[in-house]
Amino acid sequence: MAVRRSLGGVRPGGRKEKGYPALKELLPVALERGDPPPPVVGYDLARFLAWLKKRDGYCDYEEGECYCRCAKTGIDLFGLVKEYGPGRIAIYRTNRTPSKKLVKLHDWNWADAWAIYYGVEIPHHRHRKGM
Amino acid sequence: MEEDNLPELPSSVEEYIGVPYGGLFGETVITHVVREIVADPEREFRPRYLAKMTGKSNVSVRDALDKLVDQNIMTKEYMDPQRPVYRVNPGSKRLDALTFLAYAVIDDREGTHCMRDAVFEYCRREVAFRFAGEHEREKGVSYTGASPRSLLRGSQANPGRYAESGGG
Repeated sequence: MAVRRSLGGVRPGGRKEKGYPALKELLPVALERGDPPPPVVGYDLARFLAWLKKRDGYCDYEEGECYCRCAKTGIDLFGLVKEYGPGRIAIYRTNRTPSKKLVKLHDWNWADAWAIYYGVEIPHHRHRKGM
Repeated sequence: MEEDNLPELPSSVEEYIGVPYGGLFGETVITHVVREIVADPEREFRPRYLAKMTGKSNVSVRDALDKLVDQNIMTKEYMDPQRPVYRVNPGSKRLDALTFLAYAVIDDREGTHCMRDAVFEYCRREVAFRFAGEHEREKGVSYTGASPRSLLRGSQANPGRYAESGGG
């Protein structure tokens, strides 16, 4: 069913090349994805997680705060760690002098799944429509 | 986790911090700017914001942005002549490739599969978009697809505090 919905009702019928499975055999498998793992996150947080991931999974606490403020997400980083647990996202202090606070993503699968779910993992075609 | 009682970052990972793409392209201004625009391609960028995020000067950031405009990776819009706004050109394939590279850096360091998942999602979306385009041409209708927010509304899970925070 997911195939029909996401393709606007079209069931694709790719031409079968010699030695390769037809596209129509591969697509239903590729498009059938389960729900992301809990805990559930919203669009803004998924976007923040994707942002963190694309910056190697780290950011300075100040950068994270600046991002959240500029994107008007209302995310409080300490509140976030408290709610989702340091096993998923944590705040550290560095050994350097002067010491800095650093936000680090730990649960890559969780962040990945939700970023994909909201379509913020990679630049999206829907953004291209506005161009 | 209290602010005064933060755990120390392991010294083994400290070397990776703050260097875009694991130091592959050095520490130039344009590399820092590229990392920022790749990280959040939906945003409108202003030199002042990027200067703050990268720790570089406004002038050098503006120069880097203009180079990216020349490269057709970004577009420049003058809503206010004094304060141009820069947007990512989402049709740029180099932007897609740089996004994959960002994930590849994590995968090499942490042994994760972020790039594989992203490539999979990219292919899935490209194929869906291609077939949707064919459907549009056949039927003469516009394809919108299911929005992420509509998907969340369809889910039975409890969204939690951050699930529907404003903006986005």
